[in-house]
Amino acid sequence: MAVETTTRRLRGPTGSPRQVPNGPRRRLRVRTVLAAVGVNALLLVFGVLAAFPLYWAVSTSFLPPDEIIGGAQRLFVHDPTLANYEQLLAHTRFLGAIGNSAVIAAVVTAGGTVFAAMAGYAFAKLRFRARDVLFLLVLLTMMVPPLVTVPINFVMMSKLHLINTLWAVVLPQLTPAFGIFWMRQYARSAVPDQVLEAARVDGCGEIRMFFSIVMPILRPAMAGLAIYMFMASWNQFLLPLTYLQSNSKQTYPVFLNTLNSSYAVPQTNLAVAASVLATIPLALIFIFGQRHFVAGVTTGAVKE
Amino acid sequence: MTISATAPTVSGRAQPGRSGRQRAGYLFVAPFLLFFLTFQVFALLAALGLSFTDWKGSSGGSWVGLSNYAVLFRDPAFLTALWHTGLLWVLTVPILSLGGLGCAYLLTGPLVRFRRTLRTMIFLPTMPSLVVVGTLFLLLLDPTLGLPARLLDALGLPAIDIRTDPHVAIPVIAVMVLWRWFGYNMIIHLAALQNMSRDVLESAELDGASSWQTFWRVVVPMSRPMLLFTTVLSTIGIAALFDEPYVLFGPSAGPSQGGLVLGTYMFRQGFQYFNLGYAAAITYVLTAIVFMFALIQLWVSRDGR
Repeated sequence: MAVETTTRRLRGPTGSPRQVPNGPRRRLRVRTVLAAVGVNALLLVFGVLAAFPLYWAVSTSFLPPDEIIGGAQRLFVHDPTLANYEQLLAHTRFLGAIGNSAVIAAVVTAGGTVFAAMAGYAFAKLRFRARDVLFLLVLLTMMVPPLVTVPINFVMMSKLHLINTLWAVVLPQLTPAFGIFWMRQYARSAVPDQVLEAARVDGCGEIRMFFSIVMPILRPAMAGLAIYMFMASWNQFLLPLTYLQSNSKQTYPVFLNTLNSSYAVPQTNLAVAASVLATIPLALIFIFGQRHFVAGVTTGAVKE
Repeated sequence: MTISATAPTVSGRAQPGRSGRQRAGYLFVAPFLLFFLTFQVFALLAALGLSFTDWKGSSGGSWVGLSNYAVLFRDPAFLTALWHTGLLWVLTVPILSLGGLGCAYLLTGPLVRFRRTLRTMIFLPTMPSLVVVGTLFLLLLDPTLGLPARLLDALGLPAIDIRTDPHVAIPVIAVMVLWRWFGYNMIIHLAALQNMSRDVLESAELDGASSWQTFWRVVVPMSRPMLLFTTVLSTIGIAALFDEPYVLFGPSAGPSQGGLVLGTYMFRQGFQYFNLGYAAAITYVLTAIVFMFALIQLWVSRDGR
């Protein structure tokens, strides 16, 4: 990322911070060293505090079950075992729950991203009468806490007989107001009007033009938005908790929560293993698409 | 091809072309709009209507006017939840916004080594889902086995027991929120700092301003739009907080309801007692507060300019 290049420019010509040429040089040098140590130490503390719980979860998941539930916790695992994972996969509904989560996340991500690209492009580049009113509505709903529609959508889903179907969780998530905003900003600056006009002059239809010219231009923004939508829907907890009541429809966050709460003794060893497995898709995105990942989770924020 | 050759055709087709574009506009917006109008816009209006009824589960209800709201403001559990949510705001949002900016500023400093690694480490907690975060904290916070408990014990301090002590619930939730969202806010500020004009920062440093002065006198004023953005974002997040307290404390919200927040209370009323009208009223008060708050923040940030 651009941090490196921009900060390099901040340094003085020798690569060290600027100093007053003649003044009390030594004192400044000492202060600089202290500042350098201080800043780096502080950031390292932040980094370790942030990363440690994740390390703790991963390492705990390889401990024998009796050590997790009854034993003392430790920094290093001496004899790692897959017992927790075996038990989780063989004797619980974990895989079914992951399957439900995957179906929901796939439909929401694909649908939401394409819808947002189409609508964002239309808001940016096409003229139609209701455009400004509709876009104002989109902006307004971005400010509404997502809790507000949970009770009423429950009533609506019951009327539509969709409670206890995955649709009840999918449909309300196909409205990424944030994504529309972001796509519009991106399309405004990235899609050149001349290209569109030229295509129109050549007799290219609006729909073909969108898929063959506009979509390829929007691809980076769509990748970011897809990650954002995937994370949001993969991790969504409240909607499946309230709209999906039967065990076979559970998504993984709901299943994970039952491991923590529904037994006399929390199934901590299984919960930790399930946490690690459920985070793997996100970790893969994080590793292989860090640029898009950052763009995805900060969607809408960076472009003013 | 020459312009003069194509020009007549363009003007000749201008009329149908423009209405075609009108139609295309609606066509492209339509799929999004279908869901947006149903599950957002209509839902928001219908939720307001719902909050004026005594709707119970799937059996329906009748119009009761403002009585849900009248009951709400005398409901001790609601007031507790409101107080806790406010407390959480104070404990988290300033650190997330201003602290996130401070950390981003530190990270761009000239003396920092291993910049990428540090940034990645601080950003890592954005990855796991909130229920996973809850599971992690349940593991860490075990009053006898957890690492913090053993550290406190070694220092001769009492362990944090979220199962019996109602006073630790809100601070623990605040720590979870900070852990999960600090890096996220930092990344937003980092991206904005990189777009910021370098000249201003450099000239401040050339004038002999310390980093501390540069931060408060240059970076903070210049980051005002981003600070506003992260503050509003975090405010909405805190107002709608549900996952973290629910995973730690369940619908009962812990000992003496120490971990009760508005999200939990909405869930309890709406989906345990099935008082959906009452639950809708709770969320509308929440929305009103968030809107007021956003307006105040907008006004404050305008005023200072």
